[in-house]
Amino acid sequence: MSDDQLTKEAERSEENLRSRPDIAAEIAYYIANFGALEMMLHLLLAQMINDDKPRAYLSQSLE
Amino acid sequence: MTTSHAHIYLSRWNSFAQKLDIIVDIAKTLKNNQQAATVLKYETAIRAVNTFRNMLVHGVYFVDKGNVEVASYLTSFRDAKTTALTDEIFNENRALLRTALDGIKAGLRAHTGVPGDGLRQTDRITAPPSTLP
Repeated sequence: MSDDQLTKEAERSEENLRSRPDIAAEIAYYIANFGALEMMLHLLLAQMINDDKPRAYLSQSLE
Repeated sequence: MTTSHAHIYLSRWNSFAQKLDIIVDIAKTLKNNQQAATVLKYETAIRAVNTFRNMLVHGVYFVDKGNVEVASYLTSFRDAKTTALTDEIFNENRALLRTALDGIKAGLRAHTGVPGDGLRQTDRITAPPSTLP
């Protein structure tokens, strides 16, 4: 199934994620926490190499 | 005593997996470094978390009779892989995410906060001999 077919198939369905707000919340929770993990990993790298300007990583992640 | 500092800028145009590759490569070159050990310890968990996150972010969702499935595919194969988003899947991946987050937090706390601490933990980089009388 191609990308377009997949998308059209999903759009044809009468139900969508709004029907399952609990699942939608889980997805949002996971993605948001992944962002936190990525930011902390950048800070860990800054500590690892003794970077005294870790804000560079932060601003990059939050852009 | 002078303390040298290093800087690295990881391009936001690179994927998270590519950035993690760079971080892991650097960690492998450092001995007796608490933060490097943390990265290497949790690398597998972080990659698994990233795989699940990629599926959630880039997947196409199907909802049928309240059941949610997400279709994802590897661009090199084009075959869609469908995964049912059940409580078990979320519990499993949430636990993995929590493990990785707690591990990284512990690694961050291991740093004393004293400038130069990262270098003092590292065998590979040694401070130049003092020239002070």
